[in-house]
Amino acid sequence: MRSIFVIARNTVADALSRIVLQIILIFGLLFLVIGFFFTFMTPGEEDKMLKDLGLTAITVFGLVMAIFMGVSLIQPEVERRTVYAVLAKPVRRLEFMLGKYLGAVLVLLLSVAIMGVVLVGALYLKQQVWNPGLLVALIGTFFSLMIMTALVMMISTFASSLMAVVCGFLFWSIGYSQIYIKQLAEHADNQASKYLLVVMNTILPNFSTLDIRPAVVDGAIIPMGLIAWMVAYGLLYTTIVIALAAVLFYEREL
Amino acid sequence: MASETLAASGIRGSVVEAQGLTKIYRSFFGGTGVLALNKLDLDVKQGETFGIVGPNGSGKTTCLKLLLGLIYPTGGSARLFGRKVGDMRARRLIGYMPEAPYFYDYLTGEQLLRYFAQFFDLSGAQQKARINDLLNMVGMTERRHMLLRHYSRGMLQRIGLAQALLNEPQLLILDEPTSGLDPVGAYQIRSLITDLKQRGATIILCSHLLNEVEHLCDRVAVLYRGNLKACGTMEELLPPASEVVLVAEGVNAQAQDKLRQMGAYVAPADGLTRIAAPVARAQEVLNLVQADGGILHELRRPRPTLEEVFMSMIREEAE
Repeated sequence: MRSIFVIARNTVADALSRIVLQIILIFGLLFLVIGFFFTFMTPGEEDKMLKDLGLTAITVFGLVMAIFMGVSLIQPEVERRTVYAVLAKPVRRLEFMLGKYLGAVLVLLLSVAIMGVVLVGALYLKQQVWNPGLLVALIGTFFSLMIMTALVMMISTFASSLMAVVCGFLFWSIGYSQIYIKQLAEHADNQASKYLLVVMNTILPNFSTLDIRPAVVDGAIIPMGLIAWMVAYGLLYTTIVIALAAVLFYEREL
Repeated sequence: MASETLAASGIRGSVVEAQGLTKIYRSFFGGTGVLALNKLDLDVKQGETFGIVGPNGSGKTTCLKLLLGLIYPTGGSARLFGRKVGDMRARRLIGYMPEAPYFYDYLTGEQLLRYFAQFFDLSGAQQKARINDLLNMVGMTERRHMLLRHYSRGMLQRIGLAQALLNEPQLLILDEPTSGLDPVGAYQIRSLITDLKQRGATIILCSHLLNEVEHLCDRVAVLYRGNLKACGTMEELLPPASEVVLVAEGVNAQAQDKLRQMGAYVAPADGLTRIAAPVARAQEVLNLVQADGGILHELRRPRPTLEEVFMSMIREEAE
């Protein structure tokens, strides 16, 4: 257990020293600040625009960070052979992988928190009102990013970094199109296509479940049950993906 | 737990045991694959310095990776300290220095050692003391706060050796420890290994520098194309010399002729005479040199070097 935290801390240090991640975060923050000054384009709906723009920016920049983090957890360690010295110590492969993942999740949490604070602060400056729905939307975004990082890490345990990145964007696109995939499956004539679509709909993540941006932008009240569902879905899906990644990494020849 | 004794680990002499260890690298699509290691049997005893030599691609690194559980055998099995490879209790007793060590270059030397030290059951004070000792031992105290990305190859090798010693290992596995080092750096690393050997550590030294292995190791395994070609002590591996060599002063022409008639090779130069004669006639030659008033400067029985024996094995294999 201790090894997991030691590796997680090192992963955070590694991520924070990476200029690419710093740039992504800075761009995310810049986008939020610039959006703040462009609300005049939607008179009367400034707060809606700011919320929509802000949450979208956090999701998009968070996605780029999640994919970058997911790819850089396992594969570079194997390619640069830094993993050899670690796994020659009393560290299990599972502990190594969990430590790396935990570190990545902490970095994502920190990034979402920083961008979230800027967004909430900007809205508060504009309206002098605290909107708790934003926090729920940020939690949903964070769980989406957790799932994405786990998926990309899982792919990178057996495939190249490029393949993992491509798969990451593919999962993200499919994850937001699950409602259409379900409809397609219902109306598919070909049995094979129907089967394939049902499998995709069942196995691949449904990010729309975790995306409550439209409701928050419209100022709707978010029921507690939805929050519980988001958390349960995010944790369960992540656990399953991590378990699969652990099996793949255990089997891998280093 | 570095202090765990061999006896407590259930060991009776053997630190590493491998039976029929085989590794075939197969591609994703299967096929016959590449045989990297073929039915290797090894038995490394406690306190022994054991060398594994062979040209590139002979299976040396594959063997080490199998012992460390980084890859899985296709056949056979290995045990460390009487336990399965991968057992954490055995892993606590091992130190491993990878070939051309790659470490996290955003850390300083000291930070790297602290990172690795946290994987062992050492208190903060113990970690600090151990790190200080090791940095001092490998001569890196002054560079402890320098980022690894600014280290030279020699510095990385030293810090690589230091991280392998953090747990005071009972088995030290070194993969090409002097590879790429300048003569001074290589000498210093060899001195450190000699020092560890004298302290009783069991060492597996994997190298293609045969001279280094010959001088450091008690026993050597020679690998070639994944097969164990020979394994034994230097006495066992290196055939006895067939000649003696004498260097003497004042050997007159008459004595030189007699020596030649005895079948000796005689080469006088600068007042000294170099004589090479069959071992069976050594006493006879010595008597003749001294009887004629010659003064003996040197008498030796040169054996073939490990390099010579190794090259002859390779040649035989190629033929």
